[in-house]
Amino acid sequence: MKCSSGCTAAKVVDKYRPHEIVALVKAGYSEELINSDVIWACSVCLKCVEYCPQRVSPFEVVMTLRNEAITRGITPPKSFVEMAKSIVKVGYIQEPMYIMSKEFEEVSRTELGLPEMPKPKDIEKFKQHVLSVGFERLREVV
Amino acid sequence: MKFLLFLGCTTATKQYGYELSLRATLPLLGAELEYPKDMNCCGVPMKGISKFYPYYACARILAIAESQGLDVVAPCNGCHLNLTETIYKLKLNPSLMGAVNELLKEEGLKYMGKATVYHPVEVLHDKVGVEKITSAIKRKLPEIPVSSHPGCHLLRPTEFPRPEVRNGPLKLDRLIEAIGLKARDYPEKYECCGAAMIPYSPEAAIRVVALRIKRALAAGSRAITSLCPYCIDMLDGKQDAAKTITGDQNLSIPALYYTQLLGLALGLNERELGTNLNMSPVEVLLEEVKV
Repeated sequence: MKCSSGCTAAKVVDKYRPHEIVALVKAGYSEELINSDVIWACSVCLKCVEYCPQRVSPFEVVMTLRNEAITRGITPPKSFVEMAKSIVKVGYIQEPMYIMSKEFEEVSRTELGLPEMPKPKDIEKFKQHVLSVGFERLREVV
Repeated sequence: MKFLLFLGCTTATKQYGYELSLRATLPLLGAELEYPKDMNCCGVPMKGISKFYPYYACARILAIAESQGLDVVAPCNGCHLNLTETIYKLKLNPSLMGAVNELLKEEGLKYMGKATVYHPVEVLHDKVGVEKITSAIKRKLPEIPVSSHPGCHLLRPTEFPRPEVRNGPLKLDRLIEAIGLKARDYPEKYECCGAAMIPYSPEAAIRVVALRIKRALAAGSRAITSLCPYCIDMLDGKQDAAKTITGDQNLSIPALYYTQLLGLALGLNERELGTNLNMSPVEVLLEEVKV
């Protein structure tokens, strides 16, 4: 197995091929990749990290390209923006949801007798730290 | 045996059946779970936004555990990997450790590199042990073929110690057989559930789910089980979507947490295990194992 033959995303997204992304970076096309949505298709299955015969880790390359896109002010797919906003607000990518049981009851933690989800004790300090470790580059969050 | 239960985001905000069944089963087997008062997300979905954030987030979680003198149980594969990676990277990189502790200091916390992190598969298999489970169960479940879906991050990358061997044999399969069920291999066993592709393309992610279910059914499996909230969120929760997208109405199989199956063998009821919250057709299986 090699990176693109094992890749989860490559099986369902035609234009996503980890070996091509690595080759494009080597050939000097990082700028084009940073501006393309293709770098956001990775499913984080880490098979390319595990099976690359050259020990390249295309996953790390893709994550670096994503980080670089954020630094340049490029907006990622909107779920990432929503998750980041939620982390800054409550410490998690989302808040507890109401879900429907098989008996058609709407239930969440309280109804199920589960304790409240613990949040960061000093949320203001936490927020400040999260922004300082990279979230401040995300315009929509600040 | 006592652990700090770090649920992460997916289990605590929507996969309540996992939390209910963990809380109901582990203490019966001698693994006490303490719930933290101060906590945050592990940061794994945010790696693309900031590579540094997960180190801060995970070190914060580990520092809280250390302040309570406890090791961590992380029921989510993603959280477990991210916490493990943080432990290793910070140990090898004192300046990164220093930078993280600089921030934690302002929150009255310090990460010292002492806490260990366990996944429920390790607690059940390595700490409790298959023999103890076999003797603790009230009854053996019938020999129904069940496929395990360990999930990527339980297996990979082997750069860090992982709870399972990347191509098996799996602890999860031994646990399945310990309660009487039959572990059934299928070709997509070590594959990804597709969850992390949802922000990019929900349709592509659901096509991944469809592939998994199709192959499990073809192998003769009657259910899929996992100990990862992302995997079950996809394999249990996205079956209707998979039918719609592919047009294949046969993509239907009970998908449950292993702790839900274990709970049934321990004599717990369906409400205690949250099986009324699963979206896949679990009723068929529940009827059969009920005796």
